[in-house]
Amino acid sequence: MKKLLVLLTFLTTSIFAATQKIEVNGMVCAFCAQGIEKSLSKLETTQDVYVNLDEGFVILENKTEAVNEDKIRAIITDSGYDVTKISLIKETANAVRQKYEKK
Amino acid sequence: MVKFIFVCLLAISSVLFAAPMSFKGSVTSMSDIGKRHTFIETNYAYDIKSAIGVKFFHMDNNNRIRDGVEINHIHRLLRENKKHSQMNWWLFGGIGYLEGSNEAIKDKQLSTAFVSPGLQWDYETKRVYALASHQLIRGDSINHDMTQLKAGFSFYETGFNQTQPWFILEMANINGITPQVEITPTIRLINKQLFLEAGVSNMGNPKVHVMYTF
Repeated sequence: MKKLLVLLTFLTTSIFAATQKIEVNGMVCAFCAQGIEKSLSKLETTQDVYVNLDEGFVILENKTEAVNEDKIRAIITDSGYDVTKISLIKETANAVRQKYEKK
Repeated sequence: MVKFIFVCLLAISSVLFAAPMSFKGSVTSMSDIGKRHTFIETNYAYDIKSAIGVKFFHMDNNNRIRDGVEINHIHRLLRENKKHSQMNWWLFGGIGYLEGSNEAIKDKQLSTAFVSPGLQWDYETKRVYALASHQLIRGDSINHDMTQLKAGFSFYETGFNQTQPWFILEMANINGITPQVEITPTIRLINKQLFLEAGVSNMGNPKVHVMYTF
């Protein structure tokens, strides 16, 4: 029974885990954009955050389901920036990080 | 008393800052250290656009000395976020108390309440930076205008977790304190929470600016 519960938990997490790509206007320096990383990292549902200044986007990898878009917009706005687009992607934050850091 | 607190703060803090305020809920401390003007300031961003802070400063040109403390408020009037740039207008001002001396009254000390309204504009991309600010300090026998212009470029673009080096040329003047416009070429290093600028002015004075956001 215990093994079944563990298996179910694992499957549920895997199915609903979601990574969101947030395109942000105004992110021009790390000193200014650190608020975005800090605020998103504080969310209990956050697994990983990757900020890409060059392309102007943030990857939010969640432990379970995707975070409500209004909540994300509020966090980014409170950090001083504007969200232009939020979309779901299949890659993890680390996979995106590896992809862009190698460039 | 003001001087004592100021010296204590400098002694316990090696952290200096430059940006007016950071993100909502953050605490930003900033300081400039120079021969004629040094300050240390900490503010708390209680809102997206507003912060309240406390600032201690010291001005000294051998003839005139000013040691002051102020409670200030910073308000972001406008921010324009674009894909590759950001532009801001800031309105700030404080009310405080200072002590000091003027050459005209020799050894007599002056002490006065003062106000310090100011306006700042800045524009930044990943490779270009520009700033213009003007602040008044007005009190009984106190009449200073602090003007600052900065412009520069980064040597190359970096990732979010890397240190980005910049060259910044600063022109600053405080009427009644600096004998002429002081021009300082500086190297700026930015690495997330830490912001550091250092240079030597055309008058041979070293200047350091450090910022840190908690």
